[in-house]
Amino acid sequence: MNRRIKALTVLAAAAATAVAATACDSSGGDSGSGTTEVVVGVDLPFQGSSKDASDSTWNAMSLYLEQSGNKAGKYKVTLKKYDDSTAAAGKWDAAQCTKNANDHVANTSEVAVMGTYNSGCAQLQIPVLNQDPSGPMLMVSHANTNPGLTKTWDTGEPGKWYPTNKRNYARVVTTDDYQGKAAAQMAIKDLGVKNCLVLDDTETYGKGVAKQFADEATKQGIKVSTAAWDAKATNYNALFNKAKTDAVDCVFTGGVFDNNGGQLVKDKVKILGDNKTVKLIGPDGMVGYPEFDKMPEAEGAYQTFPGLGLSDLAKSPVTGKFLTDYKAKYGADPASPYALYGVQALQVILAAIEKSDGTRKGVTEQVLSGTGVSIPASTAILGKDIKIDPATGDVNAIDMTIQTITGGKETTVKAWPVA
Amino acid sequence: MAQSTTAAGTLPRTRLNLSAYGERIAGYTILAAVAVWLGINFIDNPQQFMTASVIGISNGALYALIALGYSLVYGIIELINFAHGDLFMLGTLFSASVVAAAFGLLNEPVAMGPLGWVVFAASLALAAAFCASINVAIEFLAYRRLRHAPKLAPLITAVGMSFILQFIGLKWNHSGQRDQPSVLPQGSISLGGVEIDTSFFVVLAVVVPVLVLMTWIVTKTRAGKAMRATAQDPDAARLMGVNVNRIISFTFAMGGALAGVAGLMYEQVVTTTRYDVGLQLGLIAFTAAVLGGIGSLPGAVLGGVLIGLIQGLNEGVKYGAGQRWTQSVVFSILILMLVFRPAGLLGKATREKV
Repeated sequence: MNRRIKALTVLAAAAATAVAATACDSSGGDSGSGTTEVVVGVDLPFQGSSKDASDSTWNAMSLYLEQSGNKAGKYKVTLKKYDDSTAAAGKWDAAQCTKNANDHVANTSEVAVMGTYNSGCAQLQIPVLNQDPSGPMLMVSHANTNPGLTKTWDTGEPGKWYPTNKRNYARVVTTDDYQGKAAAQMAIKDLGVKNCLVLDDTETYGKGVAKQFADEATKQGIKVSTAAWDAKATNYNALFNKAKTDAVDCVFTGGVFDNNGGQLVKDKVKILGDNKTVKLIGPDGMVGYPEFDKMPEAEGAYQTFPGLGLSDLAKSPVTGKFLTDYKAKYGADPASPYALYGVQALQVILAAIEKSDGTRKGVTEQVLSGTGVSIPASTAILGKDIKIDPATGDVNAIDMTIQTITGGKETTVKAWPVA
Repeated sequence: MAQSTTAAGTLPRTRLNLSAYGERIAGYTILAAVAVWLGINFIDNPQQFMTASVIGISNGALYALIALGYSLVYGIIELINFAHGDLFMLGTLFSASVVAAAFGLLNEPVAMGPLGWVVFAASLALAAAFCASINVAIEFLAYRRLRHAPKLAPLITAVGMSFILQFIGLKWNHSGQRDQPSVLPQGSISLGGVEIDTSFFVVLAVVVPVLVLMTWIVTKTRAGKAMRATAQDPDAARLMGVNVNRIISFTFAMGGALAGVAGLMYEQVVTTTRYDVGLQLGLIAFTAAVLGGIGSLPGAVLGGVLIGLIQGLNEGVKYGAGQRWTQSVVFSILILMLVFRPAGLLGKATREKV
């Protein structure tokens, strides 16, 4: 009798362990065994100057997922926040980006990453996700505009970002080769610029977009001088004094606002005059910063945005309704159009999850092999058919918007035709 | 004769010191190259050259104010107070708060008027008092306990204090750059085609009297005599009736006050600040103090102005290397200077006391 009780106890314990293990498997999500609950990592700089844009993106994605019933097909989807900035840096931080990449791989229930915001951070994360033994793990960015991530650009690009020779990265935004060109074309055709100082902030993104602007401007007949701005400089008086002697009528700031952009713009206006006298043109690295928009010195500055602005996006019924819902829930419009591009990236990821077997490898293959992923215009948050090229990871929708700062707000001037 | 020959044979031979000779030639060659570079830029565009020089001197005067604090403390207790730059950063934040509170117009520039001067003077006094009290507290709580410890201990403590002050600045100002209010007159004046920012005159009007006052205190007053005695030999000074602890605290108070003054001037001239501005400017100011001869007050000012001038010219003239290379240029010059004059421009070569 005693033996029977012991045997029954052992059997009961074994059964309980097996049930618990099964439960853990389905809820914790084993990427290799086909799960019903999966996690999408959202990797953004949630501190520093980019905080507002990142918070808006997170809010928009959360709202969209909630409206979708937190599901992609048979899979229950949750978002997990990863902050790639540090309080000390006040912007994305290389060490934090690398740590996040390893954390994405270590989180077994995570099947894809939405992000990053900064191209320099993506350059650190893509190779780590690419070498994930259960992957490669998919990353879809809403804001990386550096061309070298997906196409031939600098030496060894894009191959060096994909050590396994398999692609795992896609994006839903237009690249800087288009952006720099559009800004230069707008500078000569709309603003009549003849002599431009092209600055870069010495980072990957800044140098890339500045080079594109400078090359196209030269081709268009604009006299170009180039220089770098040091984010840690005391001020930029000497730099702009030199530009004043050179009689420039335009300054292009290739870089992100986080890199002491406020001081740069202040000193530009102090030495060279306001933005009507000497035009100030910035890329999307200066877009979506309320701090910048509210500066008196920013008034009249022009910006390029490699996509559509909020006012253009709102024209689509689907997006218009979503923006109304967003405002009702959060009490304000998104701080940046990138919030909607974040939703678009999430739509791509959800479509891939829905069609996949729920593993990382399966999700990645849905986007970057075969026919790839398509989102019809009737549901796409960008209001048009969205298709990711499975060979490169680039998106078919190539849009460019010219904005200006008026009354402390970013205002759409026009869409720029992209060739 | 034979004797004299023997004596001559024992005299040391005069050898050509090739190393010193080579150093001298290299030094003159570098100086000549710098002179040619300056000449070419001046001839190319004298107005641009002079405006860049004025901008550089203006920035350099700010560095000099910070460097004075470094030099003062080092001169007395031979401690490189790495927290000094971060104390300066707190000075920028504090003075910005005072100015903003006084006017109630945060983030809006206020034109200088009679009330502006009053606010400026009050902020100057308050910022100096604020930073002096922090510096004295740091000395009392941390450095004093390590007075007889190996030199590395207070040095590492200073680095630790630097991080603590940075953390306070981070919590106070957050990580981004922040617009700060200014009461200084805006705009510039043109003298013979040379653009001079009006704030330049205010900076000079503060830096020059401060240097004169510091020099007077150190060389002419009783406290200054006690400071110099403490610097030479603290034990002997104590035997002569000098209260060494009080004198060191007084020195830290003066150094802190200088950081406060520098903080206000930076905040008023540059009008933005960041929590890590002290790290960058502290490093530059420390370099200035070493360049000028650490421990020498006029040397600190000279070093600061020279670094500002080098930066201004490098970034503001036609054949400059540009801002991308500014730090490299500054530190290359520092290294070269230390090779030829290890004690700095106005420093005196000393032997290590044993």
